[in-house]
Amino acid sequence: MIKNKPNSIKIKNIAVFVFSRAVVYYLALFFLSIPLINYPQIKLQSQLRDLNTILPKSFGYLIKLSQMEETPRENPLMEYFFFYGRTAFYFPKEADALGMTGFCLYYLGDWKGAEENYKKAMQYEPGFFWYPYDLAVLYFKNNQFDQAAAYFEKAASVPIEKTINFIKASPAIYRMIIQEDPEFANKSSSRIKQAASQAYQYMVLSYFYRKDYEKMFQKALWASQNNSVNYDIFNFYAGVALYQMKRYKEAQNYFEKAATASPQFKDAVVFGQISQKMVSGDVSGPSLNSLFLAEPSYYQNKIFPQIF
Amino acid sequence: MRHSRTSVPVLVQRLKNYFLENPTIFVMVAAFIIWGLLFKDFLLGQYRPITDAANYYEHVTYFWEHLSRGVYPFWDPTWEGGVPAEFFMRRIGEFNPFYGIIFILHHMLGWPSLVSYYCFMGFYYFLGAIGMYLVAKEIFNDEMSALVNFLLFLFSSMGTLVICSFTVLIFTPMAWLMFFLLSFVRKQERWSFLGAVFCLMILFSTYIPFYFLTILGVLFICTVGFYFRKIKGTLDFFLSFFQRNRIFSIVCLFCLALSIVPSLLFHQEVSQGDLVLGTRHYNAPTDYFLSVPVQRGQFGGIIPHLVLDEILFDARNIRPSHVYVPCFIFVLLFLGFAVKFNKKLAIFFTTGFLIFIISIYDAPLYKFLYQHVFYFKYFRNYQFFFWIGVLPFLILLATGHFYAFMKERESRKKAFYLIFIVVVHAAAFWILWQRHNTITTSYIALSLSLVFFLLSLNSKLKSFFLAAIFLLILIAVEPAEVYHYLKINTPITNSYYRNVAYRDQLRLPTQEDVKIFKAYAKERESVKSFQAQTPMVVYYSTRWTADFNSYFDWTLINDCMAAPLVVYDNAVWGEDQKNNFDQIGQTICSGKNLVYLSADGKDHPRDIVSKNSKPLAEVVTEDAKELKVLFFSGNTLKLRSNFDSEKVLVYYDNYYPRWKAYVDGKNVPVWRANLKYKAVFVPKGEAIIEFRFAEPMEYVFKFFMIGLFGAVFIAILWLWFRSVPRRIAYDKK
Repeated sequence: MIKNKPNSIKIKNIAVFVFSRAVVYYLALFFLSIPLINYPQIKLQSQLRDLNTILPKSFGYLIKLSQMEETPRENPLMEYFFFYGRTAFYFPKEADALGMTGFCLYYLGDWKGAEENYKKAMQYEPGFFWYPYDLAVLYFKNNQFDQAAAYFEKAASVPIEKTINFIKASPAIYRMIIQEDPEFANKSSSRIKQAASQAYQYMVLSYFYRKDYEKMFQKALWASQNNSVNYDIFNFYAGVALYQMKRYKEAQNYFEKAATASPQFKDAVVFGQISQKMVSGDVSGPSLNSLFLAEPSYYQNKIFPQIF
Repeated sequence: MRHSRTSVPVLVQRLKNYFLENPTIFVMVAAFIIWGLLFKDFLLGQYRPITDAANYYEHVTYFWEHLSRGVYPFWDPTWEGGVPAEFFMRRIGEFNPFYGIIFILHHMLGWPSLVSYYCFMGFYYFLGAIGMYLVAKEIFNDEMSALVNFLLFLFSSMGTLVICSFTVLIFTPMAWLMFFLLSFVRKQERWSFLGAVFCLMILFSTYIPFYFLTILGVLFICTVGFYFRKIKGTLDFFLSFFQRNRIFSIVCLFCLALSIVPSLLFHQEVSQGDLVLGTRHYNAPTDYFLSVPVQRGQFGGIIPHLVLDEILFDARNIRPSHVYVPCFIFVLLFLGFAVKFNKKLAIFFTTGFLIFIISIYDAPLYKFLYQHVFYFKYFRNYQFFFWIGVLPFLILLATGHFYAFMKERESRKKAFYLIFIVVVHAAAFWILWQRHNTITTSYIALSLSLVFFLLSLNSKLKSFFLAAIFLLILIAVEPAEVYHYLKINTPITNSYYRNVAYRDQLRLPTQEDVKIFKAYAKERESVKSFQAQTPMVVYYSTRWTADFNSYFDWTLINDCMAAPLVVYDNAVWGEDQKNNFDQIGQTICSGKNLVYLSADGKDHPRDIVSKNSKPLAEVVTEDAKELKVLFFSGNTLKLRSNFDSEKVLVYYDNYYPRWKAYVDGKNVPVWRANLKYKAVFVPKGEAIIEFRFAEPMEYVFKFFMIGLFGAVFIAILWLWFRSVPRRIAYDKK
């Protein structure tokens, strides 16, 4: 007569089977070693050692590239990418490593990778000007003007001091650069001011390209009132936005303001004249848009410049 | 003619029959050929040795360049201006008879030096893999498991160490030692005992057998721990062999003791303090030459998680010395979830794990051993433990799983193992899929692995030959792609090797060269300070060279010292003081007819001042009439002189107290000149001058040792051949 085994024996058999497996011993030994061995510390030391072995000999090229004194070249960039990429891999919450990885990837042509790294860097350090700015530039060049406008706006809202403080406090990444170029932080300050002004410009242009003329006008107006450096160009952009909204009279005013501020700004004069004609109902002659269409490269390069 | 036409097919047939009878040998040879093809460009010398391998290549080449001319190299003039070569010989363990392969290939067959070296290393690596096969066969007594062990090891990236490290030189005798010991424990045979002694001789004749000692110690502790009850039986077993083979055992132990003598003599020599290991010894807690400071994680040791990262995921970025093992090993390691625990597996895991922990500088075990076990103060670079300790035990563990799985599935419900194997492979596929950069052949290897296990579980793979070929393909397919990337990622360098060509080691300048020296001298006339801003730290040199290099700016002084022999009319005595270093530097660089001599506290003659001497010292050129080179080797320089007055001859090769000089056969003192070089007084008129390094007895001892190692090796082969019929009978029984 066949008799079923009781459950307790079945469980016992299963337990004996499971606990007699080799892997149980391996895991037991490993867990026993945990109180004796500081695994996180070992991991950290190992990571540092590995980074030391791939540390670039010099950051000179990178410094020059960031200051537009060098052209992008694959070989040196790969060395930096390898180092920063590995640093970001080991320390995935270090914004400076992520940002530098994004920077290298951008110049290496991997925009997708650059975008990912910049976004992560922003997540961990929102108070750093260059991450939203570089990301916005990337979107702008990729004709993603919605995102570009949003990130230019973010960049423009970051106080310069925060960025400088972040560079000076960077425990490893920027410290190595500052060791090689002690003036790096000071140079950065003036470059950020310049880039911040450009950020407004490109933000306005982003709205232009996405045909959001109302926003374009508001931003241009705000910038012209708060940005004395490019007062002429922002008034000009405000004029362009108003013209596109068929508010020719107001457009003419802004073109005149731009032309008054910079008498050599011939396009402002020409655009002002076209607006005046439109006000008087004279539709003969070229319109603004026909001018854009006739010489797109001129307007893109001079008036609506592409970045870099 | 007819004979030669018929003999080829007969030979082919015999070979075919042999391989059919011995399929394992066929698969192993085929595997080695595949490995050779994968590493063809390396073995043919397209890629030059890098890091440690470059130095070892230089040492081995230097050794054979001399030995092939009947000269034993005691001195190496090409390293930091001249050092005793014993340190390098202890590094390579020059008595190893397998180095004879290089002699045959390079010196007898005329193959290029680098190709010969690589072929030797490749062969030695193969020998190590065969050792792994034999060890597994002794442990598991299963041909297939042994083959898996061999293939996993052969295709692991340990093979890349041939071009970037010396680790293979330690591993191969270690693997064979294990085999001989296991074989001896299974059946007491003289050849296995002598084989074990021979492996120990090779390992002990190197200056740091400490990696080996550590691994052996850990293995011993683990084995004793798991087989405690068998200790007494094993001791009795060994004793019974000693009692039955007293003379043989004593001779073996005597040979073993002799093999330690060169290392002991070397340690004795370096304890006198005339040699310096600058970078290695820097910040060490004791003055002893070989001691090293406490190592820190940032600079060496195993990188635990990186090791895993590299094993699993970095196949496209593989470079020499990166860790890689065929992915089949992970399937086998997963089998640990299914197979039953046994003592062998426990020993493999515990030994590998402990070695792994020891080799991490940041773990407490390293610090404990450094403080309490003397020899841990004498070696560093614990990353080598991974290759010679952790990896072999990891492979043995995987093989142990394979063996246990194949045995257990015969006795248990097939369904469980079938489901398990599918789950394991599915998990492995999933892990690979998660990685974006997984190479195609990893998927192929996994698929083949699944097919292999399914066929085996259903008993469809009955032919051993077919199963072995299947295993070879499934293990080798992934390395074929990985080592393709290795070639792409390895830079082709034009490394400079110290004068491996014998004739270049003493090249006298021409008159044109002398003009160039004088031009340099003129350039340096206005230099007031020769002190370097950043002192240079040498790896290995005489202590006087270390002082010299730590002071002088080599960009200023280097060009001025390119002539090996210079004759002076004026000499002044003085002890080394940093404040006269610039003066000495100025004298050397300006080529003045004045040499500074140091007696190191010994009695010495008075200063020599020659009133009618020329302003500049006389550089000995290749066409000089007053001084001719009669003979040169690393250890000896013999000259014939004929000067019109007494001179001081400076041999711009480093001073070291063991150098001796003879003038017309009469021993004369060798003085230290210009801080670190050597000089002798040369009399007026014709004379034969000879510089000699090492005593005649040292030559006798070294050649005796080479002969001894060769003799022991031949004795093993002879004893082994004699034991073949007995072993066949024993195996049948």
